[in-house]
Amino acid sequence: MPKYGMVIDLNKCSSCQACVTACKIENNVQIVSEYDAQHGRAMFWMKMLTMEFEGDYPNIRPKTLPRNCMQCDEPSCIKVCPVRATYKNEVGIVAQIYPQCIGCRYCMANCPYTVKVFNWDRNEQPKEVEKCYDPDVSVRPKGVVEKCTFCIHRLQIASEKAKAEHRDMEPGDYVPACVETCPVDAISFGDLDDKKSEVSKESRDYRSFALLDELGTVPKVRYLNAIE
Amino acid sequence: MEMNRRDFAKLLGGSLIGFAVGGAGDALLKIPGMVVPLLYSGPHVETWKVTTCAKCPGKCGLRVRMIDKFPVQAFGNPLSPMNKGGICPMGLTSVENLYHPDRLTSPMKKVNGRFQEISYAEAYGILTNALSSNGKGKAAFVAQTDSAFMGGLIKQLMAGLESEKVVVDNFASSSSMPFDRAAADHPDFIDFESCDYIVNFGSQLTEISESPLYFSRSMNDFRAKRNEFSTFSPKLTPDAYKANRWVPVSPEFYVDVALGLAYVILTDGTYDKTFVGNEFKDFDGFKKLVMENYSPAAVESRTGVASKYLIETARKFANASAPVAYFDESILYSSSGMRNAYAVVALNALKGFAGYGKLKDRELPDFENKKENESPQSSWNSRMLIGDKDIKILMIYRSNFVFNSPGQDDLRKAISDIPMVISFSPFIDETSELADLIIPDHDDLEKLDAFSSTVTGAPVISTQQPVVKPFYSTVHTGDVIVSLIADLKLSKNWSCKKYEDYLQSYLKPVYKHGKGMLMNQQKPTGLEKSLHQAGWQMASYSSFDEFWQQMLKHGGWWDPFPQTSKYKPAVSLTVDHLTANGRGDQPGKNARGNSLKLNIFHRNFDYRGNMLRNPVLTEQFGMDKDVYYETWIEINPATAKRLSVGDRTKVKVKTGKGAFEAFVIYNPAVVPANIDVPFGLGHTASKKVYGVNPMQYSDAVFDEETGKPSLSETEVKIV
Amino acid sequence: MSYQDLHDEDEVLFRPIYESSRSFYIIVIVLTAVFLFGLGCYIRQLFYGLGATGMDEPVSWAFYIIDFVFFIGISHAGTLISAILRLSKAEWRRPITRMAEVITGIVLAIGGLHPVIDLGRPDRILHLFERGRLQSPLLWDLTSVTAYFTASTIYLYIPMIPDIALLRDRGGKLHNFYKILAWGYKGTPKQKHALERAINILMVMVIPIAISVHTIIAWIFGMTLQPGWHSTIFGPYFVVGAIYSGIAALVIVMIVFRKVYHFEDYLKEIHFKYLGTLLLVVSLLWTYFTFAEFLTTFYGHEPAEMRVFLYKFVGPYAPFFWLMVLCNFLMPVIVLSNKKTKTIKGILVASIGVVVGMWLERLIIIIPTLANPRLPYPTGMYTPSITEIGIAAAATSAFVLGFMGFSKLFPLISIWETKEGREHSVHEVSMRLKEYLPGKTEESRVEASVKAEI
Repeated sequence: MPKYGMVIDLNKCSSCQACVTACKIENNVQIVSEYDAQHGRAMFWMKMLTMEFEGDYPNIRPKTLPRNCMQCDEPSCIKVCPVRATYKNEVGIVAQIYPQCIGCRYCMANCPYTVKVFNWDRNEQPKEVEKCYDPDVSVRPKGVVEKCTFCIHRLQIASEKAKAEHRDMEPGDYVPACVETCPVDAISFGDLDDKKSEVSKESRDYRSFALLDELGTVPKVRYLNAIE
Repeated sequence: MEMNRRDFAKLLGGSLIGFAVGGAGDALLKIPGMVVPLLYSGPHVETWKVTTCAKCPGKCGLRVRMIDKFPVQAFGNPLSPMNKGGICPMGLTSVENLYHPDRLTSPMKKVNGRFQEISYAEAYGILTNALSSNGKGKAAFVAQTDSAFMGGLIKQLMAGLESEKVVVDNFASSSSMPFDRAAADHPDFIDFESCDYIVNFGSQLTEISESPLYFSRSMNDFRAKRNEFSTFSPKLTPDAYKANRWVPVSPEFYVDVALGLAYVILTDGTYDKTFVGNEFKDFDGFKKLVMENYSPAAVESRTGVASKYLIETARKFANASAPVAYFDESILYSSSGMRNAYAVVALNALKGFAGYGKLKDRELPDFENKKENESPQSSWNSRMLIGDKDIKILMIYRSNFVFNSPGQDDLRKAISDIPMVISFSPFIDETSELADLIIPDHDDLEKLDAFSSTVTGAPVISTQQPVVKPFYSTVHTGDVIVSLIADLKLSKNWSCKKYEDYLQSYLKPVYKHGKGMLMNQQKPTGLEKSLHQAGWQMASYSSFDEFWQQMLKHGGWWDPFPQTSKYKPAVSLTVDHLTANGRGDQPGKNARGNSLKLNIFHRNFDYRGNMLRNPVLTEQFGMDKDVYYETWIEINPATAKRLSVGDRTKVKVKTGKGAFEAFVIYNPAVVPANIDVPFGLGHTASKKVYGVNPMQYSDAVFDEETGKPSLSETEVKIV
Repeated sequence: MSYQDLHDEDEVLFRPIYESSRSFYIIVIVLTAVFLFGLGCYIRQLFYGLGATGMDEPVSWAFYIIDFVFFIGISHAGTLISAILRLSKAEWRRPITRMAEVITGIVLAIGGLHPVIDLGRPDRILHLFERGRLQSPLLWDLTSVTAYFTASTIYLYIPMIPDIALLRDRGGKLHNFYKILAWGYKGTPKQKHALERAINILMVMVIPIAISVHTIIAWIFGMTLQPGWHSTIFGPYFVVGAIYSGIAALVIVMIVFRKVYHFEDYLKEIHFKYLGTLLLVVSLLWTYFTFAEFLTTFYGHEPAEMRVFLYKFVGPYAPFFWLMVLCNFLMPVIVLSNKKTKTIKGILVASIGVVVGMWLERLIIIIPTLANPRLPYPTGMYTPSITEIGIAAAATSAFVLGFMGFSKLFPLISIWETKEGREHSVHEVSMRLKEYLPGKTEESRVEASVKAEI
C-alpha cells in the first residue's frame, strides 16, 4: 500500500492562493455568511498562513505558506474522536466520515495545526455556487467537522478507473486539486514509501521541514524552505 | 385482467398526468432546493472541454469539466503554453459567473430611470437608428478587452463612424505603448534564456501581468539559475517576496529612480556605447539631463530611496550581460506615468535592450494587426468624456471605468449628459447602470473569441470556444458590431456576417503559413523537435475549416519553435519626453512631505474591478489577512503606534473626498508613509455591497498623457 | 388526617413540604420563564446550528463546556463532602448531608446535559453507544459521569428512605408516592442495619467515583497537545477546584434555605464556621495548585505556553484572571481567616465569590488555550451569544427550581439522622471521646456491650 504525502516547495510558491480556491470549489466547502466569516467561522481546508515577517523594513519578507491538513502519521485528532468519525485509512490519509460525526469538536480542540473546520450553520449557498458543486463530493450538513482529505474522492475514482483498466495505479493517476492547480508546480504529491518518487526525495531533502515537528505528530505534509 | 385499447390509453394518459404533476413536484411538495437538482439529474456523464480564460490578460488555457453538458468546474489546460496546467483563483471560479443570478438575461432599455426588458431586435433597432442618425463623428467607444481581434473590430467600427474617440483598454497594448511611442516598436517578450538581471518597476508579474502564470514559472526558473532581480514598488506584493532586493518607492518617483540608475551607469561608463551611438537619438541631451538632475544623492533626497541601493542596482544592471528593466501598464498609474515609462525605456536603451526579445516571424497577419490594433492611434481616453459636448453616443464594452477610476462623480455626470449610452456589459455594474440601453454580452463560457500573445517568446493564439449554448437571450457583442458595420455600410468590402467570420479572416493566414501546432500535445522533444524545426509536422487537419474546428476544440494554436531575434529598435526619446510639461527645469517633484498617502493596490482576485461579484473570490479576497467582506487598510506598526491605531480594529480613513471605515491590519512591510488599501470591493451596483471602493476616495490625479489615474498620491488621515 | 394534627419535635423540617408561600410561586414562575427562554434558545440552536452561539474557530469550545466543567465541579459538593464527613464520623454533618447530596443529583443532571447541548449533531448521540471508541477521553467521561450520577442518586435516595417512611406515615395527598418510594421501610432493626450497611458501602464507593469523574474531566483537556492544557497536574487540580466550588455552593444553598425555611435551629453558626474552615483549607490548597501550575509554565517559558500564559496574565483575559485571583484566593482567605469577618454573612460573601471565581477559572482554563493556537491565526476575543447566556441562565434556574421542587417533596434536612444524633450520638461521641483518652472506663465497656446489641 502506498503512503501518500505532499511536499510544498516554499521556494517556488508565489502565494497566489490558487490552491485555496481550487480546494474550496473541488470539495464544495461551504461559503459562510458575512456575519459568520467576520466572526471567525470562515471555512478553508487550505489556507494561506503568514507565519512571520523576517527581517526589518525595508529588507523584510513575510514567510507565507499554504497550510492544509498535515495528514499526520500520528494524528492527535483521531485519538480523541469518540465515534471514529475520523480515522487513518490504509493509504495513510486521515479521512472523515461525515455521517458519523456527532459534532463534539474534540478533534478541533486537539489539532495543533487548527486545520479542522466546523459547519457552524446551515449550508445555504449562493445559487451560482450550488450549481457548480463537484458531484463527487458530498455536501456536509450543519454540525459536523470537516477538513482536507487529500481529495480522497479522486483516489477512489482513480483506483476504480485503474481497476476497470486492469492495471495498477500509476503515480500521476491521483493528485489532489491543489496539486493539479498550482501554477508553479510548487506542490508535489505521491507515495512517500516509494524511495524513487519525487515527493519522497523531496521529503528527505535538507531543506525539508514539517510544521510543529516537535510535537511528534509526524506530518505527511512537509515543506521545503525557501532558498535565500 | 383484459385490457383493451381504450383502457390502455386511459392508463397512459393518467400516468402522463402523473408524470406532469411529478415534474412540478418541487413546487407542489416543496422539496428543498438542494435536493431538486439531484432528483432531476441526468446520467452524470462527465466530459471535458477546452477553452481560454478571459478574466485577465493572461490568456490561460482552461479545461472545463462538464456534467451532462453543464459546466461545473474549471481547471488549467496542461497543454496550453501559457499556463501549462496551472490556473489562478480567477480562472478557477470562471464557471460561477455563468450561473450568476445577477446576469442580465435579455437586452434592457431604460424607461423613466428603470430598466425594462426588450427584445434583441428592438434593441438593435434603437442602436442602428441612433448610430445612423447621430453617429458619424459624434460617437465614442470605451472598451476593455484583452483580445486584439475584438479591439481591432471596435476600432474598425469607430473608423467607419469617423470618430477617434475610442479607447480599448488592453493590458498588453498599454504595456507596450511607451515602447511604441519612444522607439516605434515594442519588444515581444523577455528573453529568459539569456536574461540575467531584472529591475522591476512596480509591475505585479505574478499577479496581474500579461501572463501571471507564465511569469510565475519563469521567475522561478530565473531564480533557480541564481539570477537576481530587484523590485521598486510602493508595496511588498507577493511577486516582490522573491526579489533579491525590494526597494519601496512611490510610483511617481519611478522616473527619478530609473534616471538615477542611468546616472550611475553613465558615470561608470558601463553602457552599450555602440548601441547608444547608433540608435539613441539625442543621447547627449539625455545625458546632460541625467547628469544635471539625477545624481543618486539628489534622487535620494527627492524619493527617499537610499543611494547605496541605487548604486548597487545600477552596477548589477550594468554588469549583467542581458539585463531587463521591466515595466508594464502598472507603471502608468501615477501622475508621472508616461515619463516613468520613458525613463525605463531609456534605461533599457543604455544596455541596448539586451534582455528583450522580438519575434522574427512577422508574416503572421495576426501579429501585424496586433500592433496596428492595439497601439492607441489617438490619445483619447475615457477621462476626456468629461466636458466633451460633442459626444452624442457612447458605447461601452465590458469596461467598468466608472468603478475603477477616481473622480467618479464627474464621470457619472459626463455620462448622464450623453443622450445615448449603450453598454454591452453582461451585468449591471457601476458603469452599465448609467446606460440607456444594455445589450448584454455572453458569459465567457458561452462566447467565441481569440487572443494572441507573444509574451512567452512564442506566437500563441488561444481560442475561446463556447462550451455551452447561451443560457439567456444575450448576444455576442462581436456579432452586434459585425452586423452594425455591415448594416450601416461602415466598411468597404465587408463580407463578415458573424464575429466568427471576422476571426477566421484573421486566422486563415495562420493556417496557410503552415507552421506551428495545435494545443493538442506537449511541446515536441527529440526527433519530433528536429522535424518541427525543419518545418515538418504532423497536421491533423486538411482544410481551414478543420483547422478552425480543431483550434477551437484544443484551445488554440502556437508555434513552439519560433524564430526570434534581439529587440534592437531606434530610440527616438527626447528630453521633452522625460520632463514634465511646464516643469521643464525641475524634473521630479519634491519629496512627498510628512503626510500619509493612500496607496491603492491590486490583488490577483480582481482585474479591472470586475471579479468580486463572485462569491468564492469575494470570500477569499482578504483570507490571508483574515478579513472578510470588508475593506481593510494595511499600516506599518510604527505608523500605527504613532497614530495610536490598534491592530485589527476599525478606524475611519479620511481623504479629501470623504471618509470610509476600514479594518486595520498591521503589516511591518508597509511603507511607513503609506496606508495600503486593496482595490476591488465596494460594488455599489450589486445587491449586497461589501466594503468600499477606494477609488471613490482617491484624488482625481491623472497621468496627463494616458489618462491613467494615480493610485498613490492621495493624502489621507486616520480619525 | 392532615399534617396539622401531627406534632413532631422536628416539625419545622416537615413544614416546607406542606406549606408554600406566595413568594415561592412568584419565584417558580420567574424561574420557569427563564428556563423556558433557555429552552427556546436551545430549540433555535437545534434548527440553526451552533452558529447561534458565539463560538468560532479556533475557540471551538466555550460556554457550554465551561458550564459543564463548572456544574460537574459543583456536584462534588455533595456526595464527596457528605461521604467524607460520614466516613470521618463528623457529627456536625447531620443537617448538611442531605442538601449536599441533592446538589449533586440536580447539578449532575444539568451539567451532564451540557455536552449534549454542545454537540453539533445531538441527533446522533446514540453513535456514542453504537460506535463509541473507548480510547477517547470523551467516552471515559461519559462512563464516569453516568456512573457518578447513578451512584450519587442512589446515595441520595438510600439515606432518605427512613424520612420517606415518616412522610408516608403522615399521610396526605402524596401518600401513595411515598409508599412506593419508602420501599416498605418500617424502621425494624434489621432494616436499619441493612440501611446502614448500604450507606456505608455507598459512601466508600462514591468517593473514588467522584474523584475519578473530575479527574477524567480534567483529562479531556490534559490528554490533548494544547499549550495550557497538556499538564499532569490537571487531574488533582480539577478535583480540588471541584471540591472548592462544591463547598461554596453548599454554603450558599444552606444559608438560603436556612433563611427561607427557618432552619436556624438546625443549621447553626458552628456548622458554617466548620464549613468556612474547610473552605479556607481548600482555598489554600487550590491556590497552591494554581501557583504550582503557573510557576512551572512561566519558568519553563515555552513560547506556545507563554502565549497562553500572557494572554491570561496581561492579555485580553487579564481582567477575568485577576478577578478570579481575587475571588478565589484573596477574598476568601481574608474573610475566612479573620475572626471578625468569619460570620455567616462573611462566609456567604466568600462562598459567592468562590462560586464566581471557580466559574471564571473554568473560563480561563478553556478559552485562552483555544484562542492561542500554535500556528499564527488571529486570536479573537470570544463573546458569548444570547443563546449561550440564555441556556446558562436556564441551567441555573433549573438548578434552583430542582431544589425548590425537592424541598416540596422531601425534607431538606435528614430527620432520622437528626433524631439519631439526638438519641444516640451524643452519648456515642462522648464515649468515643473518652476512648481516645488514656485509661479505660467502666462506661465504655457498658457502652460497647450496648452497641453490640444494636
